[in-house]
Amino acid sequence: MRKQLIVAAAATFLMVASACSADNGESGGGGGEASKPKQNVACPPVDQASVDKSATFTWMYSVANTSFDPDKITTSNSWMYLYPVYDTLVRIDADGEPVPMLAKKWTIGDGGKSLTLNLIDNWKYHDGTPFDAASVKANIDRHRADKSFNKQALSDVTGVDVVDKGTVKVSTKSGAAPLVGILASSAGMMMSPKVFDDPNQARMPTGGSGAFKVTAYEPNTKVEYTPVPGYWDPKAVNVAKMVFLISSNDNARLNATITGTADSTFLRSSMYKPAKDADLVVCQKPSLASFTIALNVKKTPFDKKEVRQALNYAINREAVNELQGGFCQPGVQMFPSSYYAADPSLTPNAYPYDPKKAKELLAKAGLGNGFSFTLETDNLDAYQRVAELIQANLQEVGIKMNIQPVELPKLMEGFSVNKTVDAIMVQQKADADPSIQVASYYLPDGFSNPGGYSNPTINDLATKAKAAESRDAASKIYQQLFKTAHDDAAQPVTLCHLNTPLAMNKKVMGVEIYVDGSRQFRGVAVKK
Amino acid sequence: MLRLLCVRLLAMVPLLVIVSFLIYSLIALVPGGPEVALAGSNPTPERIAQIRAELGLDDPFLVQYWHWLTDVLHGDLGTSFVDHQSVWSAVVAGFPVTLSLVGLTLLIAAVVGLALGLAAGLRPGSWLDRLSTVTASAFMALPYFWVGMMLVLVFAIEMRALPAVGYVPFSDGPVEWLQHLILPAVSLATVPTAVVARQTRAAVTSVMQEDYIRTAKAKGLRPRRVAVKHVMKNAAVPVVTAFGVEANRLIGATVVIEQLFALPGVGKLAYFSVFSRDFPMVQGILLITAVLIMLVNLAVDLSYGYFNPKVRMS
Repeated sequence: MRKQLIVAAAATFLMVASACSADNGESGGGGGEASKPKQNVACPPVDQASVDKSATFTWMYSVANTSFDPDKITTSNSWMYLYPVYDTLVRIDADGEPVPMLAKKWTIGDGGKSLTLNLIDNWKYHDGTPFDAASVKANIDRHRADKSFNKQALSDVTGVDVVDKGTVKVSTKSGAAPLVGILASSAGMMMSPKVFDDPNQARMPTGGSGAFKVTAYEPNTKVEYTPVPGYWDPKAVNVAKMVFLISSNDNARLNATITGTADSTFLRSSMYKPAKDADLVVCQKPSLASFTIALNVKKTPFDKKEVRQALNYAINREAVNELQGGFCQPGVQMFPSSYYAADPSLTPNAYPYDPKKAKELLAKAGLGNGFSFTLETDNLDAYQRVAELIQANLQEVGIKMNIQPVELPKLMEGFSVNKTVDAIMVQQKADADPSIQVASYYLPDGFSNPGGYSNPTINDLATKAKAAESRDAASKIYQQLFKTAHDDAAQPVTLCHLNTPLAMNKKVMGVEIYVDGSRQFRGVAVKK
Repeated sequence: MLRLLCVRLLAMVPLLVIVSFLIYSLIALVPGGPEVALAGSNPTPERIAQIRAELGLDDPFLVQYWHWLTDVLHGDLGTSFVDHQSVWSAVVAGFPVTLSLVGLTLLIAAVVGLALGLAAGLRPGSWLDRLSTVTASAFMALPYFWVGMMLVLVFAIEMRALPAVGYVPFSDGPVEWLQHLILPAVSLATVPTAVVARQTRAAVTSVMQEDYIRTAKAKGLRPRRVAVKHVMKNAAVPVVTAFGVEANRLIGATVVIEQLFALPGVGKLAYFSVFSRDFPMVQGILLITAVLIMLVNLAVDLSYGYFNPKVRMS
């Protein structure tokens, strides 16, 4: 009883603390009081002998989908709702490795400019249309057409050719390697061409190619999935139903999981301890998402390398991690140093917390008396707390940072579209391929580079990475690219890489945490 | 009475036009539009401009308003910017949940608030009066979302007696419907109960001083008959007014409670829509809510005629 009271008191504190900080995304919440968790805890694997094939798996998430048509979605948050319905040509597994899906194998050719995909045999869309090369061409052409959500991701594609019934070749302008990852996202989701023009697909899809079809849908509330008979990969289906519930309220999701209304949900750092105390299974893994400060280098003095270096030395990344309850591992480059598209030598030690050195660099830049700027960030509590910590860090070296909290839609509009904002702090999620994020921040016309930062070496390496014929080759180029970016103190300033844990009851098996931050429940099972 | 009804209904028309203009103006003032979010990741400036044009956001404000108003007058509240569903169907799907919650909350407030207020007003200065006053003060002081959290902790997490989240339509099972709504309704009912109790006490205490009550007692009427026939009816006007005010306030309060209990009502829809800058959805919700509030006020005004014949005569 005493333990229950402690759990109740802890949960009460969590609830009161987060009552006014409901969120639409998955940022790590402030949770400095949480005990420091381990970074890598695997979720329970599937034990085939104890799988209950008649069970329903219920997942609860914070954000609704915007459409069930992969071309009509407006955010990558919707991918989670589409993965059960649409198989992709390639799949990125939980460790971030590309594995076969509707394409059983692929090769990069023409000097890295084309991707040839060999498709699986004897599979049909949910409406009975055969899955073949012609339908794949139709899908990719639709995905790269005007007004498609996927147009930008496929902008490098110059043509799609049907080689034979089971083979399709995609040609690109500058390099086909990024397509492997991109075709694992909504840009690679295959939908029956017969339903392309049916507006009802947005709400009740009937032309899917995946393991499940949608059998009930209440917008902003609930999606129910039922397995498709005779699915080509039977190991991927271990439940009789999947239900995704939606609530943006952290308390509601945690309470639902504790009381059994949901089987699993994701946790913010402040929810970690109450979830553990409630005896839920909690698993976690570092992800590619990060807390990042993007700078407009057209605004002085961010055009000076020494100033950007000074910012990096002035920020205490370990303290940011502490503030995030241990769920944000310090990092100094776009991706964690363990990722293939990163420089393994750039550990957090590359920018140790060193206010003295920061002051020296500022003096070298002619700013011995410091300077001031405004940082805009999301008006949610988790962001505010990190921003205030950085404000205090920068104050120590004489930089006055004004914090301007704004709502998310205004944040990107002010920084990337109107280009009036000095700097923003965001949670940067992983894209389908590292080249997309690299282009966004480092290339002169990148969406997250309103100041037009440009470094010819980086530009050249970014082009080469896209044209690399293998992942290993791309990896070596990205190492050089991030080393160059570090040497030039290129924006953005990476603070730390987020780790978002999942909580579930003891019956759930086979949930995997994807390093790219995507939510996929392929093969999930429930114990008898 | 019929004339009063017609006059009030006609007066609602210009009021609704003014309200609709205010709604549209306020939303136009909200910083940040939907186009950046709708353009997907890393969009080009051309794509953002194209979306603005498609949504009609480049048109002058009055042109945008006129298009919207004429569509509304034709019964079309528009289509969601975000998921392209009809605003009308989304609001219609959510209102049964919100109205169920508000209805149950008002029922609790009526039963408990009237009982507390009547008991206190009929015996001012008694221990029952003090208890009622203290209870009402406590209810006024407690934030409803905090009450909701405590109720979930006790009844859902500790006792596992009631569900913590979700909703079941009345048609799918009245018992499940009640089980899912009772905690949010009790959370929301604290303030209305306190307000109704206080208003009832004040009104009853005042009516009890009237000559006709003394006369009724002198005639030898039983106390219960005096309370029901003479006191309650004459004390009803301020209580009904308070009830109307609370009903209107509750429609707004559901936004928070529907989040806390994951209820798929209009409040939850409004929350999602505001954060995604889904202007047509927000405008539709606000307009229908404004109509509802006007109807509640009309019902309250009409009830004055029932409780007080002098109002009918005037």
